[in-house]
Amino acid sequence: MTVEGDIVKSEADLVGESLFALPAAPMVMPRQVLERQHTLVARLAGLFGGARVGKAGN
Amino acid sequence: MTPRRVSLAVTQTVRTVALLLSVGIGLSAGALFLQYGAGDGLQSMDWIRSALIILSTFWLAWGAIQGLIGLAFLRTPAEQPAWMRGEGPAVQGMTAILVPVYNEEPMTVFARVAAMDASLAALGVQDRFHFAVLSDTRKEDVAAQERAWFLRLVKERGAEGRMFYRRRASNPGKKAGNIEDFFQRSGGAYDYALILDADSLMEGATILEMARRVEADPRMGLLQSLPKVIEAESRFGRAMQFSASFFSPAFAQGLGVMQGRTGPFWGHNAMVRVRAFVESCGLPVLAGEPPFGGHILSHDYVEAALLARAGWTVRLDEDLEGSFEEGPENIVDHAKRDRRWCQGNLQHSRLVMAPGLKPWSRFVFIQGILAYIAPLFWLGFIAASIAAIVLAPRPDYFPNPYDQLFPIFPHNDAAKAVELAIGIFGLLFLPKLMIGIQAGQSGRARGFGGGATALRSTIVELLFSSVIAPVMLMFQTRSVMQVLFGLDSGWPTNNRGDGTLGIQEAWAASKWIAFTGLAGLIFVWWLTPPLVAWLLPVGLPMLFAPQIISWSSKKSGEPAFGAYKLFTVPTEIAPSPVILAWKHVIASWSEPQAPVPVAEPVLAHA
Repeated sequence: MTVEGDIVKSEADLVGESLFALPAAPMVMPRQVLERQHTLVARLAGLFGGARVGKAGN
Repeated sequence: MTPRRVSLAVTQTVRTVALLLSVGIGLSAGALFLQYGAGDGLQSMDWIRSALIILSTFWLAWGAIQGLIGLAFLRTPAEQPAWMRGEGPAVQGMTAILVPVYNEEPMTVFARVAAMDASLAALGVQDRFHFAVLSDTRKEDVAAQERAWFLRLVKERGAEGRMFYRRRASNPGKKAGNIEDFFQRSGGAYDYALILDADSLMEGATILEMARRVEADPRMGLLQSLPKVIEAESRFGRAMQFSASFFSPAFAQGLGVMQGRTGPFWGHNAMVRVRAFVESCGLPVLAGEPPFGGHILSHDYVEAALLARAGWTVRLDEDLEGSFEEGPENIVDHAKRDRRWCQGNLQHSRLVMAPGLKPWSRFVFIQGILAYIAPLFWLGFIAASIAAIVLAPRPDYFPNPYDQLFPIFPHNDAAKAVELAIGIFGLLFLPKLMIGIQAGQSGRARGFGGGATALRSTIVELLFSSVIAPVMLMFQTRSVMQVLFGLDSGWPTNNRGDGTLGIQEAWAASKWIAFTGLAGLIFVWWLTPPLVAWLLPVGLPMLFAPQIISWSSKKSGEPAFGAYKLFTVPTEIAPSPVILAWKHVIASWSEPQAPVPVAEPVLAHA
């Protein structure tokens, strides 16, 4: 359950300081969806208002 | 103890029975209170108090039942398991041992790394385990010491190519961001990662066995050990240490039975499968500002839930001995840590309805929230009881206008209140007393100084925890209120040194509790003097909070009688080899020597 394109590094390319540099073996750590885009109230309002409710996603 | 695996059917049955029992006990307590309140006619305050009693008693019952379930499954092995001697199949995968540090005292931390590395080397497996010190230290002088001590560590352990040090340029995401940064840059080089805290210490055999267990189960995403608190010296610290060592295994066993494949992650002393963690645990930044928005503070609970959501097994193996941590030495440090956890747990209120989570994960979030707001129910009950006196209608002794000869007195059902109080204290004390009895019968008490010392420690712990409970309640209440009013806790460094507090420091930290207690008692005395006696068990500890905090932060003395000190734990009688090794390294490194050259860091770019 991930979001396309919202990926990888959380900060700039600067690693920081290192002594005996860690092996470079990058991995992609996709952001997880934890909150529904719409609250329950908005969903109910949408339901009764006949509007479409969007898919889950941050 | 031996690991006890139970089937999914048993897990679900135990969960259901435990939940139904807890709800039943809560409702019974509420009904009993209503019977008591009905003596002079039911008022609105009686309904409010009954609701608060239901919630509070449910929470107490849930904890008690978890302990009793654990007790039913608790086993003490007759002999040391073979894996503790390092015996078992070889591990194929590579493990990174992650040591996040943040303005910690470098020598003590790196001495732990040296001891763990020596413990792994004694088993001949050090080449399968690399150490990565992940520094988020912001103080330049501490960072310089980290570099110096790290060079000495690598030199003494001959660990070039096995030990690494990296200090982030900035520290977004705090500890979770620090770990995530490691996985994003170097995760591909490892199969498993043992996540530690700066104060974690683990036996090589335990680390190796964890890697074996994760490797043996391809669906295992995270394996959590049950760390024991060590090195406590103060009265408060030793009471907590005893509690964690003596009572926690039973509660953890209960949790273990109920967890199924959705176990806990406590943020440290746990091993993860790197691929599972990387695929599943990229934490988003929540919309809005802290305390409810921003970076996820209590990330461990969330990561456990995310792993379970992705179908990975998350498991607590309470039989994994040789896993240690340190705890706060005084109530104020405990309250500071608790403030951070409180904010983190309340932030989970935004995640309870996160899409796709396992129902048990949602329940764990709710449990974490309840752990902090349950004390407010008791406080609310006390406040409502005082309000009930103010709002009580005048008794009508002659309800029948045609019968003025014989007054009808309100029915006094105080026996119901006493029954209720006994029941509540039973829920508080019964599991601990049962654990004490089981320890005596099974021989487990020998590790705690023998049956007499263990019994003495159990009783004193019950009394001590009862005395400090109102003080803790006030700190927790303040924490919850601060979070609700939008105050962020920030990220204070844990105080891991000598935590002795003078009376002035204790007064500065808790005078507000003393004044609140004094004001409450005076108010109730003015309102209705007979109620004061009922409130003294809460009011007196509040009134003397500074004295209690200062006294309990002092080092505990030598045993008054018997060979063993109060709150003796197994690691004091027979310290684990890695603890001895750690102390040996500290002693060796504390000797005067030529100044250590301060290493110049390498500024690296990805």
